[in-house]
Formats: sequence, structure tokens, C-alpha cells
Amino acid sequence: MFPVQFTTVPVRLILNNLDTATRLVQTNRLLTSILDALPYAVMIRSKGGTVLFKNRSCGDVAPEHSMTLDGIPELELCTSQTGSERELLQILAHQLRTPVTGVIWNAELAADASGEQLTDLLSNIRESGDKLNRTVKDLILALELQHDLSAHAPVRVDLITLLRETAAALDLRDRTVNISVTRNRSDDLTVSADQELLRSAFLHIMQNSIDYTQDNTTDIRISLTRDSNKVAVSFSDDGPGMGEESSRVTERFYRGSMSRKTKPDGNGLGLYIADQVAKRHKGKLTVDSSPSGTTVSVEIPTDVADS
Amino acid sequence: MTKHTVLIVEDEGPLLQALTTQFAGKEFDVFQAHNGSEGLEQAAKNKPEIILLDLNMPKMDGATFMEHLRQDEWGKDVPVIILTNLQPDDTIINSLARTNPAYYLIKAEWDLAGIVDKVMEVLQSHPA
Repeated sequence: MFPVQFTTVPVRLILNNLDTATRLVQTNRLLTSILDALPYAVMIRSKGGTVLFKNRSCGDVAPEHSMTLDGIPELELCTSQTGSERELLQILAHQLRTPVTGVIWNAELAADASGEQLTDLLSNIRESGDKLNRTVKDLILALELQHDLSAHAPVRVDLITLLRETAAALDLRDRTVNISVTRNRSDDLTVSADQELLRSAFLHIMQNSIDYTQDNTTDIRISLTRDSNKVAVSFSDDGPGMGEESSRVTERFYRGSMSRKTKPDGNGLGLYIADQVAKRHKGKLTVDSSPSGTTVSVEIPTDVADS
Repeated sequence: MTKHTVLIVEDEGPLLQALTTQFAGKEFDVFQAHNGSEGLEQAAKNKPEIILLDLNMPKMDGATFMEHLRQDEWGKDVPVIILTNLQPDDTIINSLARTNPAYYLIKAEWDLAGIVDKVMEVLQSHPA
């Protein structure tokens, strides 16, 4: 059909053969729908100036950047996006658009619905809204952590209590989730920390175990150990592991091939947030992953003075 | 009047339900699938007149679904409308160029009525 590489700037394509160009635009629905899906302006016109097509993003003013194409239907445009920029854009576009679409479509139908159907549609709206809310919260938190903006005064946090509260907030996704906690009873397992940041970190780590385990039952084994001036909290599961790219899982927006296949709608922020929270507390996060399971460990100094 | 048949392959529950409700209300028989693997099973079993296909799905994504579908004697000609929130990039387009869907639509930019209109347009140009 046509090989295409995309540019990221508004572009005016100038085609020399008017008849072939007209036929192309009029009959190739896939081409025009793809051009309509682009977030920047594309105009196709003949060498003589006849405008044959303008995509949705194209206003009345012709884009300045132009490319003259002699051979059609081949369209070759140069891409100036790097691979990682493109992937980031895709993640953000998809993660935000999808729940927004869920709200809009179900609201459209709810306007004419009643009874049980209306209840189902409102439930869908709620589900999509919750998902959008989680994505937005993660984005904001990731940006705050990146720019060192998020700050609550440290308080004395009982880690067992925090873990219990966090477990109650997990999305179980209709699965059986078994959470076990082992600890040395004589150990003081309190730390001086930003409780809400720590809660976010633990929530993301545990939710990952649920989201990426493909069985109907997820076992999460949590162990807490105190070592002089720090506490280590380890979360272990029997999931499929993160693959060869586990060294990159704390990068912002990074999603390995295994993650993308298992849960394509993830945003790549969970372990980034957890890692940043650990660093914020002068602690550290480590990941040990294999095809038989994953252990994520978070070390937190017990007192600010010890960090 | 004979109903049209449509297979909707979409992993997001609220979106799948909204599309199903819309098409069922417009006198379509609707088949559903939550990923590409289920989609291939449903397509082979029910042979819908048209398929609405998401791209970003677990187990088997939309592009892989298309590759398999077009290898089938029946599947090679069935019209498919891509319905996604992924922006088209060269990887996606070069993959779809081989499998020739009818349209590539960004879900967030289409209302349900508009999607039905697109489906009807394609069906009218692809008589069974």
C-alpha cells in the first residue's frame, strides 16, 4: 500500500500528478483516516495549488513545512521523534484518552437509558473516572517527586499498620490475593517518614504483583527486618518476572515487553514512584526478578537523623 | 429486516459495553471479544460482516490479530475498522499497511453515532 514515516511538524504535501493525487485522496480511506488521527496539521495539495485534503488538525492556514513528492502513492516523511519520546507520547495519549472515552461514551448512552441499563452505564462511568483519577494522580506524583515538590512533614510511621491499610486499598481485580507478613516481633518497626509517600510506594509495589500475575490467585509475601538504623520491607510474589529488562523498571514511563503484553494499559510509573520515594527518604529500592517470581525491597532509615 | 453482524474486539470493559449497547440498539447482532485470541475464535465461529478492533490488548494485540485474520480464506476480505487511542506511528502503520483495515479511528475523537455511521458506510461498500 504505502510506506509511511511520520514527521512531527505540520506539513504540506505537494503532489505533482493531480489525477493520481485526487484518486488517492478520494479512494484511500485508510490513508485519510490515519492522517486525520495525527495530532498535527497535514494538508495535501497539487503542484498547481489545488487543496485535495486537509486533516482535522489543519486549519485555514497552510502549514509552512512542505514536501514535494513526485512518486505517489508512496508517502515518505521524515520522523524527528526519538524512540523514547514516541513511546512516552503513546503511553500518555492512550492512558488519558481511554478512560475519558469511557466516560463520554457511557454518558452519551446514559442520557436515554433507565433502570438496570442506566445503573450499568453509571457504573462504567465511575470505573472509567476512577481509572482516569489514578492515572492523573500518578502523573502528578511522579512530577512532584521528579522536581522535589512533594513534601509532608515526617511522622513516626508504624509499618505494620501502614501495610495493613495499604492492603485494604488494593484493587484485587476479582482475584484471590493472599498477603502474608513475617517479622521479628521484638523489632521496632517504626520509621520517621512521609506517610503518604510511603503508602503510595507500597501500594504500587503490591498492585504490580496483582496486575502482573496471570493466575487467579496472587500470593504476596511481605517480610520486615530491622538492621541497626534501617528497616527493610520486601515484597515477594510468584509472578512471571520482569524479563531481561528488570534493570530498567524504575525508569519513568518504562514498560518492558512482558509488562506490555500482560497489562498493555499500564503507565510505567509505579516502580519509578516507589524508587523515588525510597530515595526521598535517603533509602533505596532494589528489584530481584526471575521467571519464578519477583522481590522488590525497600530500605528506609529509621530516623531522619540516621539518613 | 436482516440484522447486520459486528464483532467488537476491545479489552476495556466500559468501552466494550458502550459499543455493544450502541450497536445492539441499532439492530446489529454483536459479538464480543476481550483480546486478539478471543477475537480470532469469535471471528472464525460467527463470521461477522465487519470487525471493530482495538490495538492495545493483552494476550494478543490488534496488529497480530490482523496478521492472523488475513491468512484465513474468509478473514482475508472481511472489513476491519481499527478503533484505538494509540496515535499512528510508523511501526503501527507499516504493520497495518500489510493487512489493510478500512479505517483507523481514534476513539477519543469519535462519538458512538459517528462510529455506527462509519460502519454502515463500510458495509455499504462491502456488500456481503
